[in-house]
Amino acid sequence: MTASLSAADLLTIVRLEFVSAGRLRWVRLLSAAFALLSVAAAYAAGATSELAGPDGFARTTMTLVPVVLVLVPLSALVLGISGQATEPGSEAFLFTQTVSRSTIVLGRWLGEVAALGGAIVAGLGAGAIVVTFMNGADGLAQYACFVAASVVLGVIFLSLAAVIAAATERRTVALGVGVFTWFFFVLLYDGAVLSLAGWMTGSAGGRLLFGSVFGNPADLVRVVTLSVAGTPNVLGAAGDAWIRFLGGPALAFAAATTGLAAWIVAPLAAATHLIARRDL
Amino acid sequence: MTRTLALIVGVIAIAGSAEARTWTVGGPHADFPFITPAIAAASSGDVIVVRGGVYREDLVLDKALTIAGEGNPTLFGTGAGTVVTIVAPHCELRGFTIEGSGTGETNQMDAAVQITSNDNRVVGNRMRRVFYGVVIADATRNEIADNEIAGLAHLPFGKRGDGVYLYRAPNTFVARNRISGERDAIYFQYAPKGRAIDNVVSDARYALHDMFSDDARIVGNTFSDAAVGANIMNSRRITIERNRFERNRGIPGIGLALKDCDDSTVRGNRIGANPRGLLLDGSSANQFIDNAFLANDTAVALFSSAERNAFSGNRFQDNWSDLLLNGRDSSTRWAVDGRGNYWSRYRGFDFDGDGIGDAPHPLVGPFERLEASNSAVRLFLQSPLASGLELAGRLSGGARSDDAIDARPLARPPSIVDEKRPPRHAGLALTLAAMLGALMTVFIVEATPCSRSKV
Repeated sequence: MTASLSAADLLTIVRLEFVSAGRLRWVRLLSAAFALLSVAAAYAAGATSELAGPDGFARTTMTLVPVVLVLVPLSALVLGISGQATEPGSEAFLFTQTVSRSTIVLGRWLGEVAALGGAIVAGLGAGAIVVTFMNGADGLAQYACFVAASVVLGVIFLSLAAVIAAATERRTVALGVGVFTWFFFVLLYDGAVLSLAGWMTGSAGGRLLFGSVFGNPADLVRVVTLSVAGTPNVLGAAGDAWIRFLGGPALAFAAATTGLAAWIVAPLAAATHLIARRDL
Repeated sequence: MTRTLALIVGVIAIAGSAEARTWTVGGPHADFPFITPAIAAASSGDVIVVRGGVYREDLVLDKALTIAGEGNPTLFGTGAGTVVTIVAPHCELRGFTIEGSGTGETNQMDAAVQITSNDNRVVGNRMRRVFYGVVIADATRNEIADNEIAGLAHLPFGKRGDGVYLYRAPNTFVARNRISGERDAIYFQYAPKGRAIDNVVSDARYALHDMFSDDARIVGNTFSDAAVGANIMNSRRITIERNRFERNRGIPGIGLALKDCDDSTVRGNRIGANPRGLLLDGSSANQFIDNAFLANDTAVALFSSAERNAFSGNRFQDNWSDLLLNGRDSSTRWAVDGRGNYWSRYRGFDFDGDGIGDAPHPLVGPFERLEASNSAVRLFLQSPLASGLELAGRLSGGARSDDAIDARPLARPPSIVDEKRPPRHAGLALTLAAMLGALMTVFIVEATPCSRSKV
C-alpha cells in the first residue's frame, strides 16, 4: 500500500463520513443533551451561589467535567467504531477503489472529528450564552479552553476507536472492545491507580498518582481542564506538586500538550498501519 | 470632683499658655509655608491647618497636636524612612494624602505613619505607594480609621510592608479602612484587645493577621482576594463576627485560618469561594455558629490537632467538598443543643416536619477520605470515579463509626446575616434555557429517522 494521500479523495471521504455521522439521530441528541446540561449547570452555578460572579464560568466548567468525561469518550468510541469498522464485504469493495487505505482511515476519522466536535461545541456553547447573560463574559476564554479540551477528548477517543476497529475483524467485537475501553479509562484505570497508590508507602504513592495522569487521556484532559478552566487553584497543593513533578509550569504545559498529541497521533498511526497490513 | 476638674482645666490652661491656637500652613496669608516650622512654633494642644498643595517633608510630632489637611494636601515624604512619626500622645492626623515613604531597602519599617505614643488618632488619610501604612509599637489606645492604604502592589508579598502593623500595641481600634497591595493588611502582634471593624481589604498575603493577641474583636470586615483572609495564630478568645471572607485564592488559599487559637467565637460570617473556607489546626474549644460556607472548594479543613470545636446553624452550600479531615476526629460537635447545620449535599428527608432531617448526615465522603490519606488524590477531583464513589457511599448508607456525623442536620437553609439577594437575570436565564430546550426538541423531532448508509 504505497498509494499517496490525495487531498481531493480525502475531502470526499471526510464529507461522506461527516454527512453520514450527522444523519445519526443520537449525535444530534448528544448535542441537545450537552446544551441542556450546560444550561442547567450554568444556571446552577450562577443562580444558587451568590458568589459565582467572576467564577460563573469556572463553576459551570467544574460541574460539567464529570459529565463530559463520561459522555464524550463513550460517544466518540461508538461513533468512531461504527464509522471505521464496517461489514467485511463492504470493506473489500471499498479497498478496491483508487484511494489508499490510509486515506480512508484518515478521512473517516476527520469526518467523525468534525461531526463530534461540532456537536460538542454547539452543545456546550449554549451554556456559555447563559453564563454570559447572568454573570458577564469574565472567564469566557477559560470556558473556551474547557470546550476545546472536551473536543480534544473526543478526538483522542476517535483515534482509539480507529485502532480498535482496525485491530478487530468484526464490528460487534469492535463495539464490545470499545465499551470495555470506555469503562477502563473512565472508571477502572482510576480505581486501580488509586488502590495501588493506597498500598504504596512514602512519596511513591504520590509519584504514581502524578505519573498515572499521562496513562489515561481522560485523566490528562480532566487535570488540564481543572488547572486551566476550573475555579482558580482548585487542585490546591496537589496541582502545584504535579506541576513541580513535571519540572515547572513551562515543562508541565509542554508535557501535557505532548501527552494529548501523542494520545491522538499514536492510535491513529497504529490504525493506518494495521489497516494497511490487513489481509482481506 | 468639680474641684479636681477645675484643677485639671487650670493646669491645661497654664501649660497651653492661655488657650489652644490654630496655625495655618500653605496658601495665601498662612503662618508658615511648610509644616515642620509650624510644629516647631506650636505648643501642645494647638491645631495646625494645612491647606491644599504638595509638601515635601517628613514630620515628627513631638507634642500633642492636631494636624488637619484642608483641601486634600499631599504630604510627600523624602523617600527615605517614615513620613510622619508621632512620638507625643494625643495627636491627631487627618485629611492628608501621604506618599513617598522609604521602601524598606535599609531593613527599616518605612511607613506613612509611625506611632510610639498613646491615644493618637489617624483618620481620613490616603496613603499611596507606601511600604508600611501605619506602624504602632509599644503604645496603646490608638485609633486608625477611615484611611485608604495602598501598598506597593507591584511587588511580591515578601517585598511589601504591612498595611496597619501593631506591635505590642494593645487596645488599638482599626476601623473602616480600605487597604490593598500590602503583605499583611492588618497585623496584630502582641497586641491584645484590638478591634478591627468594617475594614475592606483586598490583594494581600493575609488580609488580617493575629499573633499572640488575645481578645481581639474582628467584626464586619470584608477580606477578599488575599492569599489568606484572616490568619489567627496563638491567640485566645477572639470574636469574629459578620465578616466576609471571599475569593482568597492565593497560595495557600484559605478564607479563615485558626492555628493554635482557642475559646473563640466565629458567628454570622460569610465564607465563600475560597479554596479552603475554614482551616482549623491545633485550635480547640471554638464555636462556629450561623456562618455561611458558600461555594468553597473545601468548606472546612480540620486537623486532628483541633479538639472540642462546635458547629451549629451554619449553612454549607455548593462547596465541592464540605469537610476534609486530616487524621481522626472524635471531639468536634456538629450539633449543639439539638441544632445541627444545613448541608446542601444532604439527601435525607424531614417527614415529621420538625426542621431537622430524619437521617443523620455523614460529613466525609469516600473521596474526601482518600484525599485525607494522600493529598495527591486531589488530582482525581471531579473524575467520574469520584462521583461513583460518592454515589456508592450514599447507596450503601454505611457511615463508619469514626466518621464525622451531623446527627441533627437542618432541613432548610438558615437565613444568614446578609440575606441572599435574588439572582441577577434569573428569569432571563430560565427563559433562555426553555427556548433552547424547545429549539433542540424541534431540531430532534424534525430529524427524520434515517439508518446510516455506508459505502
